Amino acid sequence: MKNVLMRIGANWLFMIAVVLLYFILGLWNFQAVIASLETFLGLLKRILPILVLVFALIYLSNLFLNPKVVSRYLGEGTKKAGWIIAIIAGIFSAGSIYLWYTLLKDLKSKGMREALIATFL
Amino acid sequence: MVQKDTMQQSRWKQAGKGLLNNIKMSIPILLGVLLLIGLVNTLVHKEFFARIFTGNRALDPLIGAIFGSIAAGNPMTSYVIGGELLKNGISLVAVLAFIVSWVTVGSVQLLAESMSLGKKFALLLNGIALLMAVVIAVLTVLISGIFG
Repeated sequence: MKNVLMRIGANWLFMIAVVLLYFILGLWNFQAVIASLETFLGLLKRILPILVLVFALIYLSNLFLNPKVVSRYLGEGTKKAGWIIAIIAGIFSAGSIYLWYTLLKDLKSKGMREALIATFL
Repeated sequence: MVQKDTMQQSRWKQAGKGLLNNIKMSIPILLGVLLLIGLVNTLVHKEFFARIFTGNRALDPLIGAIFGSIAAGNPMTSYVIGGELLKNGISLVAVLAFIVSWVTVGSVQLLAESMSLGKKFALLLNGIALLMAVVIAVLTVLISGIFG
């Protein structure tokens, strides 16, 4: 059982858990499920352009940013420049905060400081 | 020249592969968060927020911050609700704490944040943001009192 869960992965398990919540709610209040799905679709439509932007940025970061570059500007040794980049990027980043988790995770794996991630968010 | 082109193509391929991995990992989390926000927005009615405040000046900012963190969705909604709360006689500090917390703390997406950026990081960030929502609310009212 544990192996099966590990193979599915925490991210898919999270989504399955939410879908199950919908099923449970549906047994009790089907109208609420329809209303929730309408809100979900509305949100999805609104965030799609920003999501495309985020994925484009991830592609570009994969192409041009290596751990050495990220560490130099956004890593542990960074001084003022890293903070300024994080603050300005945070101000100008569009859309909901959760859209940026993927890009930040990618930059973190390349050496970005957690303090700068927090500043961006 | 040919070798350079091949290297370039290989870099693009590698970047594309990395992007596909990212998409595969993030889509279920993203869809889960959006579904949860849909659920919270449907089940938690706007009128509910007016009923949670006690009238206690010390307690209300904390209540505002806590319920602001549970609420999800467009920050603009929080301004509308905030305006209604003020009309209902809720203190400005409590309403400000509610709005700041709505924007900076995300209980609904906490799990997604933990999975992407680490549990300790997500808990610390949201915990500090929750406390700071109250501090910012108090400071805003104090400063606007001085200049107003």
